[in-house]
Amino acid sequence: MKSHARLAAAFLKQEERAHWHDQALWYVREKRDRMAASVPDWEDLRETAQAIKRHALANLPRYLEEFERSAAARGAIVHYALDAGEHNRIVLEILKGRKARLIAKSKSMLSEECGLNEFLERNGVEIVETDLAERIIQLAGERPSHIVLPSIHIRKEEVGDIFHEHLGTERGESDPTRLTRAARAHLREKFLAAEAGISGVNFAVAETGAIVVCTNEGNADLGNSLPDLYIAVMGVEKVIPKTRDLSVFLRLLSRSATGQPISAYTSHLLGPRPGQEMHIVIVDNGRSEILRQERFHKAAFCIRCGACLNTCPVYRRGGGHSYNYVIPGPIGTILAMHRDLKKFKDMAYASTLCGSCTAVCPVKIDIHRQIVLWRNEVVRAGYLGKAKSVALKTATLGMKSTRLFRMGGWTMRKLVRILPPFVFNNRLTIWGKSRDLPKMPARSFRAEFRAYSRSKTDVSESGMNREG
Amino acid sequence: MSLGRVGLFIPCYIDQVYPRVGMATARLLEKLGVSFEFPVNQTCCGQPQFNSGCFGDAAKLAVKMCRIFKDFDWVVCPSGSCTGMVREYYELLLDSEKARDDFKHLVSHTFELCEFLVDVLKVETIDGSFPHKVGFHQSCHGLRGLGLGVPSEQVLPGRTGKVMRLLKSLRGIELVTTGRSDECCGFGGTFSVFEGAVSSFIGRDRIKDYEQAGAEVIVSYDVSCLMHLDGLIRRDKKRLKVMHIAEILDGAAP
Amino acid sequence: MKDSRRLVLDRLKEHAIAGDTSYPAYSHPHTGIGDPRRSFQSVIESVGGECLLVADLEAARKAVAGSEVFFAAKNICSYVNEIAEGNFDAEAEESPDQCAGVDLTILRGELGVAENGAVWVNADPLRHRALLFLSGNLILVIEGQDIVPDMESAYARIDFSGLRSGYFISGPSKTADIEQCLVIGAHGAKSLLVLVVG
Repeated sequence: MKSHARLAAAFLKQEERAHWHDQALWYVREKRDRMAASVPDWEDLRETAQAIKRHALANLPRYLEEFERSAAARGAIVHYALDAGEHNRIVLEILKGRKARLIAKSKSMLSEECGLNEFLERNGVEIVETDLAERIIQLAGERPSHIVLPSIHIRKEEVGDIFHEHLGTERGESDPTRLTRAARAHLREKFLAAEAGISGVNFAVAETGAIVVCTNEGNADLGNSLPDLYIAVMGVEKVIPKTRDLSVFLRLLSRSATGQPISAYTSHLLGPRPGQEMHIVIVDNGRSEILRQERFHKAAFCIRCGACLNTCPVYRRGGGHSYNYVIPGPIGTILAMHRDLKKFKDMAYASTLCGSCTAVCPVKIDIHRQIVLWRNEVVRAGYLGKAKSVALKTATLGMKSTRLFRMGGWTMRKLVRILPPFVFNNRLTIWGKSRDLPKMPARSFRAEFRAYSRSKTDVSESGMNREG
Repeated sequence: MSLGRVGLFIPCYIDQVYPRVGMATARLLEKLGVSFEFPVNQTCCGQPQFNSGCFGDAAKLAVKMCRIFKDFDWVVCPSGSCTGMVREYYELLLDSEKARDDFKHLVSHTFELCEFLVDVLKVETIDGSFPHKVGFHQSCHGLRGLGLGVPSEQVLPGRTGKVMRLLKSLRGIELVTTGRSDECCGFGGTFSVFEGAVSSFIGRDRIKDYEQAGAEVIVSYDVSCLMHLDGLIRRDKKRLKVMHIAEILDGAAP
Repeated sequence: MKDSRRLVLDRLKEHAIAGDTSYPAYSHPHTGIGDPRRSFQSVIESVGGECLLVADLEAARKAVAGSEVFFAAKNICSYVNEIAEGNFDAEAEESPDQCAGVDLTILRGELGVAENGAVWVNADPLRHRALLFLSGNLILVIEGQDIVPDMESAYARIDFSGLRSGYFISGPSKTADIEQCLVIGAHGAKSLLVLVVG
């Protein structure tokens, strides 16, 4: 498994593509900014959103039970899954119970996290992703590179190639409208033939048992209205206390995610439609563990808007596939650490700690702070790596002693001044690979300042600045 | 003016590599009538260790810092990131009884240079001129961590940043408008070494943005960002200059 | 599964959320809405929909009769006979997929939200809620006095007690999944016309 640094460096080799990717995501960030600025109470809304999440997650068992009761009263069948494996088995069992072999699936990051598609396919179920971007990457055999815009890394010509191969569109067709129309026709057939629909859930309202699903395409709605079997899968943290709380989250969600005031469809489902069997699978898969960690519990507040990805300078440049976890970018990093600290440790270092993620997060998760705290976890677990550990320990030794510090600095400055520039400014030294070293001064500040202080003739008590 | 004891906290890389920034800071404070001391035993605040996750090593340096500066009423530092280290993150490192009191005072009385001018000395204008086109680089820690400016992510209508106010008070200065007003420069401390490709790519994008906006000089309150950008500028043989804000407020020319 | 339920709920009893975790009292009315009808209209237009402010039902009738989408539609399903008559009775269809050929559906909305151009549609009166998404085009009709400023006021007016399904619909179906190019008409309606009456 290649590290983020290597994967990102490889992505950046195609400079034009990297710039295009960076610009595309920055554009989404700008739309978000304009939308946020149009809501006078924006910062207060974020504060309230976090407060609702704190309350809901501090009382999760109560609200889950209330949601379960309300949903069951409406005719939904509610299941609980401890982990990914159980989630997958429950879904398969439900499908088998109705002999459903063709599934129309709408976006669910939870299902990606659990590896549902691969599991179902191994068990003889054909699962068709209906979100256009998800369908594109499904046909291309790729992982999503963004949680809201899964195919943001794919160019229209490439979509054209994929559709030519799988949908029979004309070779060389790359017009987004024509390609979308082709996908519409192709997926409409699947919707009408599907024996079951599966979707994720944006919010589950405890008060009423409603599940809320937001889409722009309307695919989740076709998926949950046409087939006689519908399965909604959700993480435990999706439950919110009251209907009115939806107003807070919905006002923040689409504006943060794509810079829209609201998604085209915000669907509220309370139980199955007549003649339909509806199941809701509620999944833990490590979320209870996250909530028990004082430093990291806020990660469970996430409403999966993706704003942190769009704003991250590192994510924009390196792309989502540079991260090894199913969810990339800043939020992906702090979630991956819980999943497997050793496997995903490089993600914790794929950040400049600029803090932009924290500033855009609609529920005010302290993402960049958690990232640096995770780095400490990596070090404490002994996963930092010999080279880095030795380098840092040496630096610490050099800093602890003022004498060593001064000597070390003097030596460095001397060497860099004496030796010809190419010794340092070359492809082999890590700094010098693409940058010049700074010009080294002859004297340190402390030496300069001492000389300066001594040269001053004014020795009055209050006026003299001196070394302490 | 009677402020009590003011200590000058000079970041390690300013001490060793950019003494002119420290000197400009010293001269500027003098001009503003501030009596200060430079405790010679200081070395480093521990940020590189902290950023790498070596909290234990960083804590050793934090304890040293607290000991050195505990008797000062104010601590002034010409760096947003080092000040941020003390104000935002020292609480994660110093939990022993012994360090606690020293640290509490240090945390609440450590100021980045510009915020010391604006918030403590109540100075918002500097009598000076800088008739040049300036690309003001709002370094991340100072911007989002210390509140030295108004981050573009936030909706805070009607606010102007403190550093912006100081800069704008200089005669003849022209602050150029960049495409991205506060994107990170890509330095990120050890990030610049361990994710060199991404770091340089981001830095080059910043430089292009400043170039296209017509900047002659890139100015920041963090010389670490400037060191990174300058390394790229010189490698690519570009004509932009970099200056720390202390130098400009002290009256230096590019 | 019974065990899993108990296990999950028990696990979630412990948490590390410190400080005040009480349910927050809040009120965030959108204070930036000037004229609700105009704001509502301009947002709908900015998201690829069309919105007409008409004085009364007669004007609404004329607007629909004269609209391109009505003219071009072969199979029209109307739930608002005072404004337009349809020729397809979705209520008579046994299963939802039989509505796949509907070109235009005309329906009443219960309220409109000025801050985001959304129309709240209670789908319970429809035999097949899938019609809303199968229909090639949508015309939604609301009363001008039923436009509220924001989502908070909208939810305050919606009664969920007997509801089976309801939707906020803002604009036609769309996607920008191919190189961020906006394409109107992904899987759902290719166009949305909202008539604000009075």
